[in-house]
Amino acid sequence: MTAEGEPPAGPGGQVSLGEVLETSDRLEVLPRGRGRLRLRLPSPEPFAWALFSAGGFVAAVLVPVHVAILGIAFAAGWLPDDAFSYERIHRLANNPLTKLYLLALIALPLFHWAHRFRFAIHHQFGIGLKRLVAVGCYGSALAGTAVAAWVLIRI
Amino acid sequence: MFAAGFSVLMLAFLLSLSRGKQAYEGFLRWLDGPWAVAVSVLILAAVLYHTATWFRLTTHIVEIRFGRRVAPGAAIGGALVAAWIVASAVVAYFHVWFWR
Repeated sequence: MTAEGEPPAGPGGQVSLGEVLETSDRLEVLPRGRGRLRLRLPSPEPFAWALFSAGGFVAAVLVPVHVAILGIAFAAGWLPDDAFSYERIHRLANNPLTKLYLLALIALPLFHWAHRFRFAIHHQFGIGLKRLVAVGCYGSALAGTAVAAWVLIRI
Repeated sequence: MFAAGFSVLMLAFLLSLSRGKQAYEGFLRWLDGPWAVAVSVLILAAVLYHTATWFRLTTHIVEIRFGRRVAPGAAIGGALVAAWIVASAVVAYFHVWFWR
């Protein structure tokens, strides 16, 4: 007997062609039968990771300055008087490029949160319910994105 | 996590903007209050921590080659910090001084 997966040796240590073919046939040809033509749909996982990554980048690079301006500098009175006037901010936000930017600025961190929080629920809180958690997390991010798009269109 | 908190804050700001001058100025009064500042300080601290960890991770993951030479992690980190400063300055310019 030869070891599993190795072609059997013929007389004098030589391997006959027939034996090689027989062995390789056994090893390489997929078994026929049911399930051979089953289609494998691509997983949406890479898409979630891409959004997670983009959101992490936006959160790291763009969010700090926005929080500092909107949340702290305005209340502290460090900004010029008319910087946050309704007319100016409305005009600024009415620009289509600004709207596109704001949509990305709001939506991408939401998807970053969704992906991160989904794994936190499983790994840190030890809760299963995979499908429910995924729908809840990505669903919230999608809902936030939809609300942001709706608000931006109405400005 | 806290960046998503910022998304909600920004969304509320834009929602008030879309509902007219009165709603917008009401939201500005809330922004001027202690709660808004406290929440913002919390978000800012968490987000700056995120920036530090995100950049540190990036210097470990990204590998940039010039021919056979590999850019050192410190160079990538430096470029990220420089890009962060430039991006913040551009955002601040448009948010505060542009079209005044």
